[in-house]
Amino acid sequence: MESATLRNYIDGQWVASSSGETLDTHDPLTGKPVAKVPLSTPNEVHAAVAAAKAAFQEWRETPVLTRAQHMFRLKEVMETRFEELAGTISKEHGKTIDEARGEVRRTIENVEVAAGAPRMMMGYNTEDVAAGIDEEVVLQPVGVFCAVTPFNFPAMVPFMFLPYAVACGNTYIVKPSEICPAGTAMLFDIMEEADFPPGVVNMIHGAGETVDALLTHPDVAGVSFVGSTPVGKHIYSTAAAHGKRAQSQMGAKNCLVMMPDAPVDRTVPAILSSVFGNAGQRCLAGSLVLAVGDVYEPLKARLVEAAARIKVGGGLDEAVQMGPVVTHRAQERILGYIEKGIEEGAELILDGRQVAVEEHPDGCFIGPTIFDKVRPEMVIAREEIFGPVMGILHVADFEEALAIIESIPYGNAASLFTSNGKWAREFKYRVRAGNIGVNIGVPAPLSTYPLCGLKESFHGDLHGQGLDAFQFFTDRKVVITRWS
Amino acid sequence: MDLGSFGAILRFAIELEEQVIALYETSAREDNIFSRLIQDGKKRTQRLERARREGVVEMVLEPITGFDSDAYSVKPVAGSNENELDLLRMAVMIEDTMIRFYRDAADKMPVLGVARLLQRLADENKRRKAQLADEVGN
Repeated sequence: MESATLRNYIDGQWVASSSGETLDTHDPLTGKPVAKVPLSTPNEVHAAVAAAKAAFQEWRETPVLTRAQHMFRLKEVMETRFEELAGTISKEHGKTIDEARGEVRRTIENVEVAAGAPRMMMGYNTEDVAAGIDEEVVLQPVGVFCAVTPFNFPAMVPFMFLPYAVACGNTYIVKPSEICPAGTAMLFDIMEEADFPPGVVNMIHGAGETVDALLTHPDVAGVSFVGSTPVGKHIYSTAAAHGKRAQSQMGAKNCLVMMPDAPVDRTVPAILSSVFGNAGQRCLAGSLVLAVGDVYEPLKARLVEAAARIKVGGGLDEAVQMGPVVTHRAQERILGYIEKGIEEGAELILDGRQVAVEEHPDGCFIGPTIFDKVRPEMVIAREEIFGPVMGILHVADFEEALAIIESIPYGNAASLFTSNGKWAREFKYRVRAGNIGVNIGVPAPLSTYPLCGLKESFHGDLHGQGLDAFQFFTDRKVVITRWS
Repeated sequence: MDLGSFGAILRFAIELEEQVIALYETSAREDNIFSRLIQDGKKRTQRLERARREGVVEMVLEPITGFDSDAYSVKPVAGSNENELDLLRMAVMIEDTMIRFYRDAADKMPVLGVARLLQRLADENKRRKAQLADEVGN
C-alpha cells in the first residue's frame, strides 16, 4: 500500500506540498515506511511566512488576556487528546508509552506557563527620572518566528518555544523533524481544534533546503533550534548573518559522577533511567558514569545486573521499559560506536547488540549496552552516541572527575550523586554544564525554568522555556515622556 | 504481568477498578451498597486516569522491580456470586485484595503524589471492606 504524504499547515489550512521530492518515515518496530514527508519548496516557505506575517498585526493587537485564553483552550484540548497524542508519539518514535506520556505532560506544562503572558509581558517604569520626566520599558511582540525541531521529542521541543512566542503576540512556523513528524502534526491538529486564528501557527515539512529558506527569509525575525551541533552551528551563524535572533540547543555528552558516599541502591535506578530512558536518545541522557574510588566495583556490578533485566520491546506494551531506537539508520550508527569502543580497547561488559524481541524481529532494537575501562580520549567518551550505551570510567577522586567533564567539548548536563553537601556545592559551582543534577539522573528543568546549555551544547544567550522564552520572543522598548 | 513501570501499575489499577465495577453491577440495585460502590469506583477510576496523565514526569521514570499483577486477581470463583450474601462475602475478599494491591503499589511507586493517591485508595478500600462486612453481619 502506498504510504500517505503528509501535508503542511499554512494559514489555517492543511495543504499538500507541490514538491515532488519526499522522504519516508519508518516504523521503528518493523523498519517499514509509514508516511512520506514532502521536501517543501522555497515558494511554500514563502507562503507560510507570508501567512504568518499577514496574521501578525491582528494577533499582536489581540489583548494579551485573550491570547492567554487561547492557551487555556489549547491545554483543554491537549488534556482531552492526551492518550491519543502519547500513543502517536510512542508508535512513531518507539519510546515507551510512559515516556511518551511524560513528554506530553511536559508539552502541556509549557502551555500552562505561556498562559502567564499577561504577567510576564508587564514592563516597568520610573517617575521623575528628571523633573517632570517619566521613563518606562514596554515589552512588545516582534513578528514571525520559526523553530527547527528534532525527532526525539516531537511534541515537547516545538512547545518549548511556540506557546511562549504566540502568547507574546508573535506568529509562528514549525519545521518538524523529517524522521518523526506525526506527533508535531497532531499538535497542529490540536491547535486547529483550539481555534487559533489562521496564520498564527503554521507548519512546513522539509529538510535542509526548507530550513535555509526560513533562515534567509527577510520576514522571519528569529529561529529556535534543537538538534545536533553541526546543524545548530549552521543555523545560528546563518540566522545571525541575516540579522535574526537565534538560539541553538545542540549536542551533548553528559557525565554522571558517583561519589563513594552515595547510596548505590538508590542511585542505580536513577543512572539507568538517565542512560537508557528514551533508548538514550535525549540531550539530557547520561552517557559516561565516572565512578570515584571504591564505589567503582560495587556500582559496576549493580549497574550490569540491573541493566540486563531491563525489558526491551515495543513502546506501546506497558510492561516494556525500553523501546527501539528511531530507525535502522540510527541503529547502524550506534552499532558503529559499539564496534569503535571494542576497537579502542574498552571492555564490553553488557552487550546489547544481540537483543532479541520475538514479536518484532525487524525492529530497530539495541539492548542496554555497558562499556567498562573507558578512557577519556576514546571516541566513545567524547562523541555523542545518542543511543543506549553507557561508558564507565574509574576515577581516583572528585578532581579527576571534574577534569574529565571539563575536557569534553559539550556542556549540556552533568549530575553528581553524593551525600556530602560540600561536593554538591563544588559541583554546581564549578562544572560548566547548563543543567546540573545533584542526586538526579536527568536534570530536566520544569517549564518555568529555561533548558540551558553551555560550551558546544548551546549557541545564543536566551533559552527555550521559562523567563528566557518570554524575553526571546519580545522586544523591549524604552519610552521617555515629558508632559509638563 | 510484571508491573515494572509507572504506566503498568496505573493501567492495572484502572483495569482492577473496572473489573470490580463490572462484578458489582451484577448485584447493584437502587441505593444498595453495590450501587454506591460502583459510583465510588467510577470516581476512583477517573482519579487514576488523571494521575496517569499528570503524575508522570521524565525525571522519575525509574525502573520498578519485584511487582507482579498475578498476586492481585479479583476474578470470581465459580458459584461464589449466586446470591447476594455470596456476593457480599466475595466483595469483602475483593476489597481485601485491593487493599493489598494499593498498599504494595504505593510502596513501589516512585512518584510521591501518585504513591499518596494509591495509599488513599487503599484506605478507602479498608472502609469499603468494613461496610461490606457489616452488610454480611446484617
